Amino acid sequence: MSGVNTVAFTIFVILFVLVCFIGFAAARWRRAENLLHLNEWGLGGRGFGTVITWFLLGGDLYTAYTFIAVPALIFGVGAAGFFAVPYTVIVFPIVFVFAPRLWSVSRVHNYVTPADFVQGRYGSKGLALAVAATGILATMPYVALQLVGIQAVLTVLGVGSSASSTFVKDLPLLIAFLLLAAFTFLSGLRAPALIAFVKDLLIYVMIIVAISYIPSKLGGWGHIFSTAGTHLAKTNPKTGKPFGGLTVAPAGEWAYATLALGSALALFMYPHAVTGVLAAKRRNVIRRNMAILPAYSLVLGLVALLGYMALAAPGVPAEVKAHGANAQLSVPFLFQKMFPPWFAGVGYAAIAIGALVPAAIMSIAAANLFTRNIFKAFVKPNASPAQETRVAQSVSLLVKVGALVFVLALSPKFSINLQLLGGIWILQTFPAIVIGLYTRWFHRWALVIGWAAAMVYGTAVAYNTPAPGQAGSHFGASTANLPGLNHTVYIAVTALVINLVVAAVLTVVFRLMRLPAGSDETVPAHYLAGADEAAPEPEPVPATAAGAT
Amino acid sequence: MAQPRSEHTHARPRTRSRTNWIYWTLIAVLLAAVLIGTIWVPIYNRTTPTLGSFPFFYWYQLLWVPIVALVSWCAYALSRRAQRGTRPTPNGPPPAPGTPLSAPTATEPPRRGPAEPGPGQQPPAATEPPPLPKRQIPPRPEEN
Repeated sequence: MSGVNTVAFTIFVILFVLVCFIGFAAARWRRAENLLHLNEWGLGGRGFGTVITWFLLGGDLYTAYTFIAVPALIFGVGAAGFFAVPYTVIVFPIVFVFAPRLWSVSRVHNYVTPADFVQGRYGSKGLALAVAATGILATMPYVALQLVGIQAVLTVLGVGSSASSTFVKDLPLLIAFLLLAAFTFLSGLRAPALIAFVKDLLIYVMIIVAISYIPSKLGGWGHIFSTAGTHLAKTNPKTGKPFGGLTVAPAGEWAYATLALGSALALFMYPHAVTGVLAAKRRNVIRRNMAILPAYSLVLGLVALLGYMALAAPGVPAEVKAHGANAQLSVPFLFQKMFPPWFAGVGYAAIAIGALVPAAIMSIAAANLFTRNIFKAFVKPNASPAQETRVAQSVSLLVKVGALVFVLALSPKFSINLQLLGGIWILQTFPAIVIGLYTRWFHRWALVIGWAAAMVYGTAVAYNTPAPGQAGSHFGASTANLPGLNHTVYIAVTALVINLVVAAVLTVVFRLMRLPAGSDETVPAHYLAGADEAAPEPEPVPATAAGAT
Repeated sequence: MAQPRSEHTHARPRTRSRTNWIYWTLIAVLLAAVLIGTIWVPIYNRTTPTLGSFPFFYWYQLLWVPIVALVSWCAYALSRRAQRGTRPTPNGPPPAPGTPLSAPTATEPPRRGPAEPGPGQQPPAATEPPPLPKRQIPPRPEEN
């Protein structure tokens, strides 16, 4: 370990400890009456206003995905990785439309998870189970991506890098995992919400410095783009084609558009994003947030370009190559080469905390799903609140173990594929949740079968997609050629179309067969509850009517 | 169980909902424009014209970020105007005992009383809150 890394490492550790201290202090924040109540541990008491919701949703949305995975993809393939920008631009109009309805109906019926809503809306335990299981499954690769992010930072800091034994080699990953587990277990949602302040502050400082300082050191943006363009135009020995380019190849336009659209539709299906929405104090807090959240998109776009800076920075591509061509290391190495060690330490801390906070929120949300919609619904209906919270805490640990499995099992080439794989699965809950917010036309069993068909299709196609240049590998990419159309398309979108078609056809069939439609405990007015800010908060319907019992 | 809330369709709410329709269409058009402008890749899949050495592909897409913030803010403002009319009207009959329901309005307690008017009867108009909320927003009531 060189002396350079010691300074960076010390700063990194100090900031990290400071943040963890805040996290544990947060357990007492705003005098939670009883942290052992799931509403408290899992939704922070449903009392977050505009500012905290902004930080909380921002913490959800901008993660190691932003700081490690997207720049790594841009570093590797160029413009095709920039789809993350249109994705985070269109996500807000999409969420703007439906999230307030979800908030309202959830407030009236005391829904904590998306599966609660589905259960209440369709009166179908099977459909709720499908939604819950999908949420938990899809969260795992997303948490895995966060672990990869922390791992990348620790690797560049020199932790375990020069060792030969596999245990020490995987030390960064192990440390990342333990940190996350300890952190979440102790404080629930309040800690991430408060830490989001510190995290975002660090991130904004890091970004502003990086965006203004690095280009001037590298000879300006013009030089960065042209050097990156030259690098990308080189032929990839594995595929025999160029690595990429400064624009998307015409054959990749469909993939670009569907990746953006699919990711945007999928984002707010994730249990953690729903948690962020439901924790808002008032309905309009959500819509107001859609106007201020794009500030994060700008950050994302600029951070994505760090990938080009890494290509243009002398020494960085060589370092990445020397570390097994792991593109995830490009941004951490860029910091190491460009910044004085102390500031590199700040940057590393920002990235690591930026991965830790969302990973905590994600695993809490997945744990909530399990507790409410699987444990309480199928195992122990009369569990006490304290029991529920204890189960949730253990499950949040299991989710992280699952994430660890994803990190170890999947190709490490581009970590963004972890998130995109999660997207393939989670998007299949879209018909039940979002369309369910507007109409109950779809038959509940048709939705279940449509979901199942799409899950099988999506998983099978993703499994059979090899990584570029590695024939026979699995889960190598998230786009596949669409037969008939002859375009490469994000698998999640194709699967969603299959899902909708199957569900629509079967709905007609089931209606003709007069199969029971199940009961709906919501009425149209519930979807608008709290629409007027002047009115007091809607009161929850008493427990007897609440879903997921 | 689900009470149909049909009381909406009276004279005044109807003109209301016509204005709302305009608001919501406007919102839909704004949001659709964002969608088309950002995911119709051929529009921007080129490097020229550059802006301060940023190829077109990059600055065009980054430019959409402030635009979408602005559009979302407009949509938010429009939706607040539209919502003034679409809220469940307090003119309807009191809810059935089992379903405290929907969006409670400014005066809660009187509704909860056991003395319910018979079905199909005129609600006691005098004690009911004004049909539409006032323009200015009172200080947050939920602090207590």
